[in-house]
Amino acid sequence: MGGTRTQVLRDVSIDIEQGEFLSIVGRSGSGKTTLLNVLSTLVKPDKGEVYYGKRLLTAPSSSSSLNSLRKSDFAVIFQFHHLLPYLSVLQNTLLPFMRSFRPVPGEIVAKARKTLERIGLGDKCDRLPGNLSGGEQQRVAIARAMVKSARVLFADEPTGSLDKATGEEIMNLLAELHREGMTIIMVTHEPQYARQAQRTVELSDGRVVH
Amino acid sequence: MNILSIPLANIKRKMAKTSLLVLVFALGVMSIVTLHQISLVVGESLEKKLSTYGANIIVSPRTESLSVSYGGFHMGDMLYDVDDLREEATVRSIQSIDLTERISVIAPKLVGTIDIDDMPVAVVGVRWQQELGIKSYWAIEGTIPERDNQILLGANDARTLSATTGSLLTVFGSRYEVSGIIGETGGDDDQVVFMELGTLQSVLNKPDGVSFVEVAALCSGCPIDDIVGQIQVNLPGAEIKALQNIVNQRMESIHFVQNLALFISIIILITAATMVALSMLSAVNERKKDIGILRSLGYAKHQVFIIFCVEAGIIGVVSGVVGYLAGYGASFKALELLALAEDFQPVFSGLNMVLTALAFGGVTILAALYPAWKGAVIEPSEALVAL
Repeated sequence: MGGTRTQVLRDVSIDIEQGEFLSIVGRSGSGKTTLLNVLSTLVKPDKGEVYYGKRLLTAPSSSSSLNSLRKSDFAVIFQFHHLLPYLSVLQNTLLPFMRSFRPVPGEIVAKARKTLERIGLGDKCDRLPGNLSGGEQQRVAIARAMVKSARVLFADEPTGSLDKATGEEIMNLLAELHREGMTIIMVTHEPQYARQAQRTVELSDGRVVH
Repeated sequence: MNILSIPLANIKRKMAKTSLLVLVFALGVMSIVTLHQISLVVGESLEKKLSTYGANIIVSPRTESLSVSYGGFHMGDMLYDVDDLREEATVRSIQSIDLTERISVIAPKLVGTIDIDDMPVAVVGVRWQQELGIKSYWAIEGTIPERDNQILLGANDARTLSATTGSLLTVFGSRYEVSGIIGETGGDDDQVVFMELGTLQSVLNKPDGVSFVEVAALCSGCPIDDIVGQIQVNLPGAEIKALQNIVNQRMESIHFVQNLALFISIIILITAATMVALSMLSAVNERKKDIGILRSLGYAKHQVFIIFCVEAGIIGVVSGVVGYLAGYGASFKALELLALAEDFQPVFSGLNMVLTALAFGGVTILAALYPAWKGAVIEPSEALVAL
């Protein structure tokens, strides 16, 4: 603030295995979201390196390869505002595939419809996000990750704005995806959801404490 | 579904705001189209009106001159081999050029000297309808001659002959009535007597003869040299001269009107484009979170850029079509108000409408370049603050 730089993360070093379900916990301001954003390439760290397999994601000229990662391997879901309000449920699900002037291939549209049906939104394909509940919107975001066959899902407080029952539904869906082989890295401030992960990393003042 | 679905869906979502923007831009397009129609019509109308203030081409017999001097006495340049032009053939030759539609008036003249009340006076025989076509500035006290035995006096001649409207003067032994007197023009017209060309041809025994022909040509859209060249081809034995100063003055007047219309159009266009740019800048700020979502999904900068440019382009194309149609309609009213509707009608062209739409689509895309670039370079981290 006022031009002062604040160090959010300090000496953070973690390894995440493929297929792992990791939760990141900590008090408000501990750097959880920043760490998630660094891991998902949405924020470039001032110092340090991030590897995805053998690929260095923090190299200076990695902009186009980061785009490539974001469109194929990585998927991010947020606590709020993860859908474009003027696109239908189906269009939001297919958003990763609508980047060019070429129409989305029919088989991918079919896959999207099937995925929406699997998560209970098959009859709401043409609805706008404004006509869905918070839980339904979150499920659409997850469906988007499923359709593009993302290998890693970064979830920032996915249940933060949901009631308990809906939160449970979302966690069950994440668990299902994990069982199918997806790597999930989730930030949460709810201990009961953190416990559902295989491993928990705790941050305090930007450092890994546990 | 493709990248175009995104700007189209956003336009649909904000239909009221988009419609307002289209309306404002279309008003600008309408003004420009109307001004363009008016400048085309006014240019032609103005030139026709200016042509009633004098000719800009003179067709005269080719003359040879000989400089005569002997024993220290110099007689000056003597003209010889001067034949009159044949009126009918000359007028027909002028009318039959390729650019005949650019010929407004052909006014043949026979010049001679006669005695009026025993005073030598210069006389010009004219065809009254054609002559008035290029002498609309004459302020005549009385009327132009309607009978063969009537004449029209220049202001100075009227004073010299002490004549007024209705006076009877003796010309070649016959009585001629002064039908009118031309108000002072400050030019050659003040010093001559005008009479019907046929009457003078008969009096001077020069059937079908004319001394020269004045031509009022409409020069806008083609150089006067082309018209002169074509007349010369048809009249190889004549001398054809363009009065460049008159041509230049007229073209200056016409160009002034057209340039004024163009200048106003540019101002309108810049204003409308600025409104589009500001609207797109506002849209970029409002949609930072949307940009964040797109970038988090792997959308490259140029793809975000395309989304905003396409949105602006759609607004421009729709405004162009609406504006062209409205401008075409408004042109009728504008020409009516300018009292030009009787002679000229706006012309609708489907091709021009398409070109207008594409041109204004291009303008709005240009206007949106900076806002689109600003949106495109937003990094996910910056957009995440909005998320």
